[in-house]
Amino acid sequence: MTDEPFLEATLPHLDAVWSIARRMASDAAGAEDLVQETYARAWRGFAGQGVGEVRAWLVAICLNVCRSELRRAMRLPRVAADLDAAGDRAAGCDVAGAAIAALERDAVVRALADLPEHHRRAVVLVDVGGLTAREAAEVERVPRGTILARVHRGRRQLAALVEREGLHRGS
Amino acid sequence: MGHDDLLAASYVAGTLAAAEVESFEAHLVQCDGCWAAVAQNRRGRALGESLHEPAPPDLRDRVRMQVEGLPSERRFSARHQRRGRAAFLVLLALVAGGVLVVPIVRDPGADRDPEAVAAVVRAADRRLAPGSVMAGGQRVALLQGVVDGRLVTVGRSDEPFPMPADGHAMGDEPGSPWAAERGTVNVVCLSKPYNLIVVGALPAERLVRWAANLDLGPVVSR
Repeated sequence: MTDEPFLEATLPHLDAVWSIARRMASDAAGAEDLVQETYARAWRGFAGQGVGEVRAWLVAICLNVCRSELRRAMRLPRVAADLDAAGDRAAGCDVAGAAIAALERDAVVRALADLPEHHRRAVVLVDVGGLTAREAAEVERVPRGTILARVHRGRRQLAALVEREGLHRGS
Repeated sequence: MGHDDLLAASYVAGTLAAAEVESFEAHLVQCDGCWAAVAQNRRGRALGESLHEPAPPDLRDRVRMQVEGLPSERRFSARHQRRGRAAFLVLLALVAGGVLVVPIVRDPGADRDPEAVAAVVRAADRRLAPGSVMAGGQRVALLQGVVDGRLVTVGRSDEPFPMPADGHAMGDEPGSPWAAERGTVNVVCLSKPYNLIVVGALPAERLVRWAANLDLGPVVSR
């Protein structure tokens, strides 16, 4: 197998995989590891994969990697921070003018982390990753109606948590 | 989930039939609970979507490099020719800047390298640093240096680098550096004080001497 058909089919979905990995990993460097391992595994299993289902397939691999490999990697010591360009990049993204936006974003990230697991995953897949309900259902191996229900509840909980945090901060 | 919730979820998802939409909207204006549910769903959706973010620009390059380094057939296509032209321009710029860059001529041995070693050799070939790559299940941080006016690429990992089949130990002591030739460059590997792969167009001994004096800071826990 040559690598070009694989890359042409999968690289357009890098942003979706990255956005989901970013919410599943503890930091930017961990998310990069997750994405790279996802693509390595995907490459090995690419033969026969229909292009139409590539995004859901990649995301399913990403979640599997997250469950298995990342746990292993998290136990390993990590190279020094001075070489950790990913972490530096993430830090460098926050310019002073975006401080308020960053605070709000942090509040959303925290609220998302507080959602029940199924609801959180549904919101991450559909809203953060941009998957359709059908794709998310395929990833989670549940009926589409179940995904719709989880997304609905997850969104409402997310909105309520962020509003509550805003009220607390404002009070 | 209650009947109204399912309708509200489907309504926001845009999956109701036209007649159902009309019926539900008529219901919405009379039902505070469903109105609130739809509004809260939409607010939550906007919050979730605000966390969508584009991948870091160089992650695309590193994913591409990693995939191309996995065992596969090689295809010398128009893409490779374009890369050749791009590499020539980079080379020109670096030479103009006073740094001598020696391009790596493809060596058949490189295709048999352990993935982590091959990743550093490819990074050297493409001047891809700093950053990190995952190769063979091993995370490798990449950086560059200049030694005797030549660009040198370094890969550092928390785990030891496997020695290629054609690599040779540079000493009799256990843990001695090893070296291998890859086209026009030498590849050396040290395990103390860090696990390093160093690639450059310099004698292996010179690369080892330089790398042994690198101060890259302590290993920290994730």
